[in-house]
Amino acid sequence: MSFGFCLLESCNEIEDCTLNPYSNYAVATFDVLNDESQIIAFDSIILEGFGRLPGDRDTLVGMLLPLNAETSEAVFHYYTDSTLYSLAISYDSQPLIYELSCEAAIKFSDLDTSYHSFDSLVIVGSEVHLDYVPINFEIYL
Amino acid sequence: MGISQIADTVRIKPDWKPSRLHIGIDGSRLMGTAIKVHKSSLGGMVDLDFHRFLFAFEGGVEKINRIKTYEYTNQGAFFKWGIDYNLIPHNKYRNMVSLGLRYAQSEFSDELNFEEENAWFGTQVLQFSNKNVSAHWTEILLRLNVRIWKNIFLGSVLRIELMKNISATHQFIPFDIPGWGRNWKSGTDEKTANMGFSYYLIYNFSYREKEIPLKRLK
Repeated sequence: MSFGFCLLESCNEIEDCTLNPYSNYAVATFDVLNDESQIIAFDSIILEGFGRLPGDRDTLVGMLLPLNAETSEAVFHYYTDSTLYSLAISYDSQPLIYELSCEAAIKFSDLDTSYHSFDSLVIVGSEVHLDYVPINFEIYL
Repeated sequence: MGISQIADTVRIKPDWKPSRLHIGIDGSRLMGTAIKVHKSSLGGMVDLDFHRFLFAFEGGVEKINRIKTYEYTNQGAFFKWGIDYNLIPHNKYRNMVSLGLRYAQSEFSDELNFEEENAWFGTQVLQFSNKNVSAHWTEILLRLNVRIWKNIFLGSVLRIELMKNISATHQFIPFDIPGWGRNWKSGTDEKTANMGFSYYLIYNFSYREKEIPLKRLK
């Protein structure tokens, strides 16, 4: 029966939209060089073109970096009472239909930094993919 | 030297002069157009015999309009040409089982429009399009033609599509390719191989009598 149906119609595959691994943010973790116990907190974090990001006064371990499909660069400014850190990241974005019955998604890839003023920064994963790349940037102050 | 060995060495000179032209319409595409609201397609085939070989040409047009939470439109044409080798040339009804090889080319444009809910930037209306994309691939075919009435045959084709290559796209990777099918696997990867099945209603224009070769004696 199902074989006969497949002859007339293309065979359908099981689609699960919850498996979509693409999101519209990169993930950064923050740490202090040579002092892992030190707490990190910023007075404010500003994303150019958006404004102040929520939760910026909290103790920071990891942070979502919003990505905009309409541009190819995002610039973040991290303010403390004495220092300003900046981070400019570039990326490619490509739309795709993950599954026929799911919403279209944006795949962000080729993440790179065009500028940063932190002590050091490691690009751990250059693609936004929740399954394979849980962290994109490791940032050290 | 025995009699049976003499019979084995009898050879009939191959007749390479074409004798019949097959013209067919792709019934699976007509059926798809009738039952799938998002798809309209028309396809056909022509082949000409040369001894046990057939030079074959297939072509068609396809338009897909998938409307979900997104709208994806794909429109284009495809052409396939190659040869078939008839495995049963002795069949008295001119039925045919053949193996074939095709080079296929598709020319198309597509467009994807959707709204992206972004927690930071709000709802974004995004539009992407690719113009004049071309794709090439190779097909291995198993064909079966059966005479159903006088000069009318029903042809069925099982095809394996391989070695796809798409020209540089402008904004995104196409979801469908006319003549190939879905370009994406379920999930996140492009399909590197595909399988297809189609059936044709074929008219046999026989313009010269051609002797059906006798089976070789064992």
